[in-house]
Amino acid sequence: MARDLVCSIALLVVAVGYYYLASGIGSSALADEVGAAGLPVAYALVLGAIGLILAFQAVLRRILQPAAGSPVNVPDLGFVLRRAAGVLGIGVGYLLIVSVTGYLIALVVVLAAMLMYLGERPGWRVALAAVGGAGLFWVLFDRLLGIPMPALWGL
Amino acid sequence: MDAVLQGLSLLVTTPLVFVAVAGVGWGILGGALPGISPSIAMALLLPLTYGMDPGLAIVLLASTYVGAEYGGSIPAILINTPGTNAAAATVLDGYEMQRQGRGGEALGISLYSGVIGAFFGLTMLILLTEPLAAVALAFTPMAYFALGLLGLSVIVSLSGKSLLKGLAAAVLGLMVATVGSDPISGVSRFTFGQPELLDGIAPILVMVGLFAVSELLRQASEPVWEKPRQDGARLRLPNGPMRRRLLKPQLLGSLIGTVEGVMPGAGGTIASFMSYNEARRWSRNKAEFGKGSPEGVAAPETANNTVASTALVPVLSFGIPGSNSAAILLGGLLVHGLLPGPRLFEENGDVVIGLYTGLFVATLALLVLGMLILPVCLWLVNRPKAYLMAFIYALVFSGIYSIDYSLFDLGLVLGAGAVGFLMRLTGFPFLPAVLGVVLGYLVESNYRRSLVLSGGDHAIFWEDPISLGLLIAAGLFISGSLGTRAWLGWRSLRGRASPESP
Repeated sequence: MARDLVCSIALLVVAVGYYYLASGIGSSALADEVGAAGLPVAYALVLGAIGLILAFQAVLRRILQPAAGSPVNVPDLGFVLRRAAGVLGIGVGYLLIVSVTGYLIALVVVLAAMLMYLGERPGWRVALAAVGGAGLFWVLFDRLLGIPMPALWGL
Repeated sequence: MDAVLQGLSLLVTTPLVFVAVAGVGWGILGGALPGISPSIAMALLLPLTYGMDPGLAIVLLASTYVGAEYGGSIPAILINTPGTNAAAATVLDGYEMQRQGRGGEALGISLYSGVIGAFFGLTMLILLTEPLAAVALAFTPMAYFALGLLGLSVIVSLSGKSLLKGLAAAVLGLMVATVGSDPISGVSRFTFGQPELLDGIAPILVMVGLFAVSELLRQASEPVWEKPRQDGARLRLPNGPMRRRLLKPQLLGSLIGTVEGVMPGAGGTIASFMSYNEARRWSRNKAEFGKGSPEGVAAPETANNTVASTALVPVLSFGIPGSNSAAILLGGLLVHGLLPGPRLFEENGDVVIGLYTGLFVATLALLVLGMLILPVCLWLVNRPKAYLMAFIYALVFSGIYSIDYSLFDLGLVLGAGAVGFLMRLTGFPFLPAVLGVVLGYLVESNYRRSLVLSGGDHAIFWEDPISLGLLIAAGLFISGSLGTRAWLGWRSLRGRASPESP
């Protein structure tokens, strides 16, 4: 219930922000009757309306069923968010290093980091999986498929 | 009869079989790698075809297309990542079956249904190219707009428990589809000065983020790493009773795939979502959908594999490519001096017969290669979960970069993954958002083109007979789905009330 209220507020924030950006879309001599901003503005209004209804529903439910607010068997939200943030952080780390270290080394780092983050002990198995796995991906994408993957220091 | 004999002769006198099998194998690999879409898999082969015999070159490209459309279902089922846009609907029940230890069964159903769909589509292509081509030509911008609305009407039944959350997700998807250059005036919208956003956000980026990355984020906090059931790790083709059960969704998928395939621009994604929705509507086991229903895998897989063949109708008849893949096939035809249209059938009948024969061989090869490849895929996803998750992340990074050689795209995927993770936590369904992203451009561009044609008069949408028919169908779908939701809600309320009643 509290999550629904948070969601509805988030939807309203997105709707207002999107509306603000949509109303600033420039016009063109080629513009039609609806215009480039026409549908985006409509979408923002619809999303805002949905957000308001969801908020109203959440508040109404809280008033009518105050005891039902505590969910049963819900895992610790903080723990769930922290674990997810770690995986996301590894992804962001890849983005930050790949243009410097190149694809192969960055992938070795990502594979090793993910394996250890998900509970594998550092050791030869992790090292072998990271190096071997990255090599396999490099052969498949860079050599076989001919995709120009980022090279070491952009070389 | 002459054509059949000519086809048989091609099988024994040319390397057509080898080319078709190689094309399917390459296509399955391309479709199974997220980011390597069917069109990319075909484009990578295009330079190889320059020196080839024209007939064989077209067979190679078309077989790759067939293989890639099927290949998209493999990661959709096994790792919750649609390899192609059209495989997004397969994720829903396919991955649920995999989670229940029934991945082998799901892959068997998708392979069996894919082969049925491919054969049905090929039959339609051979028998009905002429009348189906007329359907393709009859489509106006108004009809395309109505078709987009018909696709969006599925949202009502894909919204899960909360219709409002489903609608909100769909609107968010439509908003994402507005990013980039405006379809009519070319004005930049929501690009924040980033040139990478001028072409918009590709649906595959949103899908991989929502499904795959958010699943990785979720799995990171899952304390129990369950060992899969051993029987789920073996490929299982459907048995007799299951084949009978799958008949209805396969028929629906084939019919919807045929119609959608011939419409340039509609493509396998709308077909698979609509087939999924209709299979659920007409199923005796509605409650199973979304929880690992075999019919929920069969319908979209039949539909998108039917589309792989019927999408060739507008290409061969008029040279109208309905998708990127079809455009590359068209490029392959033109490179070899083959001009699509009625004269193609008259002047290069041997190429057309070779194409049909090659597609027939490719479909058979799909079955054989599928049975060889899928056990390996099943083995791979049954490795210890830490290894599986790490390799999926590496696959996402590699596959997404392959689309446009862009790290910016990878950032978008991670962003979509974070949003998807929050959607999971708060109970927002993914599929309406995916439909919004996929159909947003089709709906907006054709809505506005229609109004340009009519000078702003909305009556044009019901004056066009195809548009009117599709709008009525969308209206019926929406009211039917709303009625079903209301009835189910009332029944559940009654069910909750009855234990207390004396």
